[in-house]
Amino acid sequence: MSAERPTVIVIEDELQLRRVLRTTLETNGFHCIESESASRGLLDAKALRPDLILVDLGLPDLDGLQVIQAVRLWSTVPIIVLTARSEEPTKIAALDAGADDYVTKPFTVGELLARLRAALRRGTDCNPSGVFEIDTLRVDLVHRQVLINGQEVHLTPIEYRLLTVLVKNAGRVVTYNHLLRHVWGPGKLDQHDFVRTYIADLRRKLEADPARPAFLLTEVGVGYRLLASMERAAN
Amino acid sequence: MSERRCELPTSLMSFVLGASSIAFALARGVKRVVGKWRGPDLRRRLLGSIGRAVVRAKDNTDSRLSGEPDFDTPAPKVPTPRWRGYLSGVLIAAACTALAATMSIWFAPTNLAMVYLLGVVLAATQVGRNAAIAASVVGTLAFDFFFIPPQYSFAISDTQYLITAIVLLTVGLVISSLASGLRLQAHAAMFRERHTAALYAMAGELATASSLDDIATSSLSHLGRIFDASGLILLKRPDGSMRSFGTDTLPAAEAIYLPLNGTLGKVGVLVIHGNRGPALVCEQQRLLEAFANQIAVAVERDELRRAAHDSAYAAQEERLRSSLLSSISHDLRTPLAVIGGSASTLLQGNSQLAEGTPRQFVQTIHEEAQRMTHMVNNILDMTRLQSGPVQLDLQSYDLEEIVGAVLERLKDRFGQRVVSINIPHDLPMLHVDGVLFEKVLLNVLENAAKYTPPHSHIGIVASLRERQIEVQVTDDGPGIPKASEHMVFAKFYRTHAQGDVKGTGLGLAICSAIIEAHGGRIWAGNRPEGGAIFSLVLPLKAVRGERPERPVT
Repeated sequence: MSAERPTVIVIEDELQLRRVLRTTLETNGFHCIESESASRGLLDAKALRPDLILVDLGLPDLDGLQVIQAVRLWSTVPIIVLTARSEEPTKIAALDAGADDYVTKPFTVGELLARLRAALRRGTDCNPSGVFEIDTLRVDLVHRQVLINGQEVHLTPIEYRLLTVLVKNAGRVVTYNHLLRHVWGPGKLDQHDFVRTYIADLRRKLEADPARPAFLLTEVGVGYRLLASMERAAN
Repeated sequence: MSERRCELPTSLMSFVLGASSIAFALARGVKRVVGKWRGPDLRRRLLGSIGRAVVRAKDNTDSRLSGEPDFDTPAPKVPTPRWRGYLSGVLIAAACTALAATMSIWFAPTNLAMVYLLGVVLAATQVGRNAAIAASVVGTLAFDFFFIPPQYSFAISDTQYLITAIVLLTVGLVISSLASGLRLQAHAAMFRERHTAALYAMAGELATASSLDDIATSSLSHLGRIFDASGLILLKRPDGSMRSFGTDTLPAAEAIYLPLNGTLGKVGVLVIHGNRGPALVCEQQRLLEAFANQIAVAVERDELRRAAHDSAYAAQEERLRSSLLSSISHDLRTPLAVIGGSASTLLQGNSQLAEGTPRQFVQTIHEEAQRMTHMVNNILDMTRLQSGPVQLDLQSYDLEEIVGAVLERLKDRFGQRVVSINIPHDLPMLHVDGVLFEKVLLNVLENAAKYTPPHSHIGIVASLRERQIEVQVTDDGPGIPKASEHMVFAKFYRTHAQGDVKGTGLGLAICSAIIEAHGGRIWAGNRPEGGAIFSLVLPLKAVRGERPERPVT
């Protein structure tokens, strides 16, 4: 992460929410730019090259999904979506369109900041050593080694590929379709059962208590999230 | 049981009437026909067939319920073909001639004419008009030929015999036409009686019919039996379209269409098609109209009954809705009032506030906002579940995975509570809508956290039983108040044991709605050793209960 304050563009039409977000971000070491509409936000994004974009899905002029797609045409900047509760299909659509993560309204400050940090880390942290570590798990991508408490764990090729996709997206929600596409290829899309079965197996090998996973978390109906660090967002 | 007295007449002319009355009584199912026979035995012997009919009627009717129309008795006889009528007339005349020939030894020829008259009466009552005409004409000719001098010639020497012959012919013809008229009338009366009975029977059945289908079935079956016809009832739906009952293969061109006129307007159309052709006699037409009116009244009554039921239901819904609304508005206004009050106090910036009070106020605002969030979410969930058939995104899920996700979300709520999980590794996958099922577990577990003291034990146990997956959530808290085990799933119901526990009273109602949408069941109870137990069962997916097959890598 750069020493400068990271710039975040907030595309949100509700003035009150924008004000709260601005205060929260400014007091937590971010530089915040407010955009009250999608078109304005897209202009700002092009002109100011932010480190992160926070976009509401329900905007008056353009759909939030269209904003994501427009940004993804020219930039890989992390995008976090603000969404109303219980809209799993919308969340999945946003993630599949290229958003990095989502925060469900109403959200807590802790939750938002954790998501922001995880997304920024992914943007900057290229991890030159190729080693990922969390809790008791250590994944060495270069030597293709998976260790739990220093003990090597044997994974099947599919399980290992699943784990690498999750590691590369650590901290983010990875949708079922994303996993299917990157592990099995485009032919198996929508066969979410495969993913759930293999994740269950993977969990039994990696987690001490698979019913209460410590780092390989489930976002029911959306996908999975491998925590990037043990600092958790409070619900 | 009614007893009808039919005075059987003694005069010769009224004998026809008597015969008709008995036939009438037979068709009507009268239990007993009481006849007075005043005449000599000879007459009785002559009318033997009718006497036997009375006996038969007694035998049959005793075993039959009173007034119950018997449609199995054959319809009135089809009139005998014309030539057979004439032939029997001629035969009767021949028989009379033979009888008269034997009697001619003792009687004068004029008296022999009476034998022929008797023959004509017999022909008229037993066979028909044509037989009677034939009997009179042939009888007169035979009388002339055989008995009037000069015998064996049609010539008449004495004028007094000419009068006898003419009177014989005239009386014979008059009797024939009168008898046939009476027969027709008796026929018509019998028809009317049968039809009245049929109408009465149908009206009785329609009065107890409880649905449109019942009405249609019973009226069509009555119509079918009485008119020997197949029918179709077309009813007007509220939206103006037609709903049809009965056969749909009526040849439209030959059918009869009758409007079903209710008191408030036309309710539909009765279509009827005779199996023996479209023609109905006038009498039947009127009866059919009477039937149509009965059906219309029954249909209309059904509509009114339904409307009354609907409005009662709507009123009940309205009462429920307004009680929900008042409950919701109370539950939402309270946190709003707290938030508004705290915030406005803070805004005033009153320096007299004690040390730490502002922080307390902010804390309160935060808590109340969370409470409102929770409530609004629950209300939205409930609304979504009730706004129509729930669209389930059914997929295979590992129960362990969903439990893990829920426990992750409830980590802070559980605090010091100890959660033990017992899910067999070989438990088949659940076939559920993951997001909704997560909500069920979330609500049940949150409930457990809400109603138990901080260091309680909470257990999650799953098992496979008779092709059903059972999940139980237990705690060792105070349990559910006696007799309110069923109530906890009702909307806005909250136990009052824990006065300060905050909630919407919707969480478990949502669970119940979701589980029912999955074809499962959820119930609550108390454990014998203390504490509450919530159980839910879900049917296994019919085809693919096992884990999905591993894709080849």
